[in-house]
Amino acid sequence: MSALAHIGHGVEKKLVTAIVPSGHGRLLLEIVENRPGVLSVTHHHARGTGSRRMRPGHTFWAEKDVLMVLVEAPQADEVFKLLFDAGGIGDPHQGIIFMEAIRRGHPMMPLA
Amino acid sequence: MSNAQNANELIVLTDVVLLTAIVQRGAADLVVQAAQESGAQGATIFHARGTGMRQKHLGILGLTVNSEKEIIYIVVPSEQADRMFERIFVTAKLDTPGMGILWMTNLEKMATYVPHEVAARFGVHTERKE
Repeated sequence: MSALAHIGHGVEKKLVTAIVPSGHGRLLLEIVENRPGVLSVTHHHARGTGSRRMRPGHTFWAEKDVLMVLVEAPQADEVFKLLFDAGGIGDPHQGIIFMEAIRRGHPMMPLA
Repeated sequence: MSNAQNANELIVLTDVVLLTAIVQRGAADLVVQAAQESGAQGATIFHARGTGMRQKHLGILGLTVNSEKEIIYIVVPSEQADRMFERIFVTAKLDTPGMGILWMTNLEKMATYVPHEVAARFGVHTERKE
């Protein structure tokens, strides 16, 4: 087996994704990036719609940030809770957060 | 953003599925409208650029496939997932070559705002901190 076959295995990982109002992604990134177990964090822009409704046939769109955090499984619940609390996701129209298992994953390499 | 000290209670929902669709730019709104009609509470769309191997085999028709894509995330309860998957498949015409792809993955857990009365109805909690 080559050395490459081992890459991405070993430590069980989770992907936590938070969809939050535009501008919050960067702030949340700074909150979690140095937490124990966090391997990589990235965020990008999106537009989203939720339960807010306009006239029939019209959809309310809001600017969103999508934050993706690759985290080691033992710390995943803690990071999930931290993002939920810090992002105010429990408040109306503040977004959604979810977590999924990663079969194999490798983080971005840190700068030397 | 809220202060963690006065944060709302974390209510975790399981048995949820993430539907992800990659469609040609401009098609996402139609997909989201169809998903909402079949019960989706929300959707997130962002832009991407991509091409597929099959596009090479479309010949002159390949020129009609836009490499600008839209990616759609929709989180739905498991019991609605198959119905919504099929509805999106039909709406986005994914049986046509080059129109896009669609998949669904199980989520371990999900959390969002749950109205107090809904949470109380399920006996999750009785009091929300302000």
